[in-house]
Amino acid sequence: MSVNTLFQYFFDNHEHPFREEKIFITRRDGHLLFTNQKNMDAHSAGALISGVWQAAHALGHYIPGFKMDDYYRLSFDTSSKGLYIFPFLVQKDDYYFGITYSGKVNPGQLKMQVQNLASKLETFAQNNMKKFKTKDREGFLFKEITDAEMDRLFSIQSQRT
Amino acid sequence: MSFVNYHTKEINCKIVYYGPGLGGKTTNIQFVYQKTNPDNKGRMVTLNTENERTLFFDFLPLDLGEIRGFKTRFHLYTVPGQVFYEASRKLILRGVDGIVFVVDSQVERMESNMESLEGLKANLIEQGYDFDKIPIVIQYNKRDLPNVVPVSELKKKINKNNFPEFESVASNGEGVFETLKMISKLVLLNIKGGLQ
Repeated sequence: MSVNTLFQYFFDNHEHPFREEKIFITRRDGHLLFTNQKNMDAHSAGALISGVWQAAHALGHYIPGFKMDDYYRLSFDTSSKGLYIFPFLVQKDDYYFGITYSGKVNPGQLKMQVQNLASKLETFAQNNMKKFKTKDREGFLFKEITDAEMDRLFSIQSQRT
Repeated sequence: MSFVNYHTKEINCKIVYYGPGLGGKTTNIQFVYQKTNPDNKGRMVTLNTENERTLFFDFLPLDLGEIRGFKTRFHLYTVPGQVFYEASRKLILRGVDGIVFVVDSQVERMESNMESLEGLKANLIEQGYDFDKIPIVIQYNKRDLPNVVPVSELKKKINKNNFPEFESVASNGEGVFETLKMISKLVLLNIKGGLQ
């Protein structure tokens, strides 16, 4: 399923309260699937969100009574600004809803809003799986790749010495 | 695991630079970062200690441009090489599409190279990967130093699978892009999902 298309569609067509905050939805391996940011720095945020979550989850084994499927979320914050990461599932796969905010009198309310929105997103995905499902494809995407094609890809190098 | 969006024609892949501590993993992606056009790269993330040893990972997103209508983006990661960061290395390997194994060519680092290689194999198997099938490129780094093991000997001990291999001096960039280009090609060729 094309989940990032699904997420884009969801945010384009559903009201949500996060107009000033930065939103990042990442996959477990760090791939950024949705953001409301327009620059490539967002990919770095995606990698960090996944990394910090996975490190925290690994540390969870030091928590007495820790269970893998317990309901955890992750905050890094002051009384008015910070980062909040909330995990959710789509088709049994883990995704992380990350949000950064500032100038909030009641960050707790924002966190509840994130949880509510993630829940809506889960429901939306469940109900619209067929619409965003990609066709099953066999084989490999590329059969051969020429040296010239690779050279063109790597024309990203700066001319500066 | 590579991420292909057929609707927007985008490909996202994850490459991990792996190897013993101080072998040149971070140096590799720092050079890539320095030499890449600003339009083609995102912010480089370095999570390191006071003396610049990688603590958790380095990360660099690269927009490589298009191949056959698909926009390609590669996420480059390095792992911390020091022995006691094994738990972190396991986390960073999740979802990997291709690996550059950076060998420290110095004689006194052979044992560390072998230990790191065995660790890589074990971690990949643990995550369900087949070491013989996942794209891997071997980079014999630090070839400019006087006390290096001959490449033929390194090959016998480290590259028994006959993966593509390159010599390098990452500190001045020699072999860095050649390595990256090869692993990128292997990763692209390994992406499942034929066009209809």
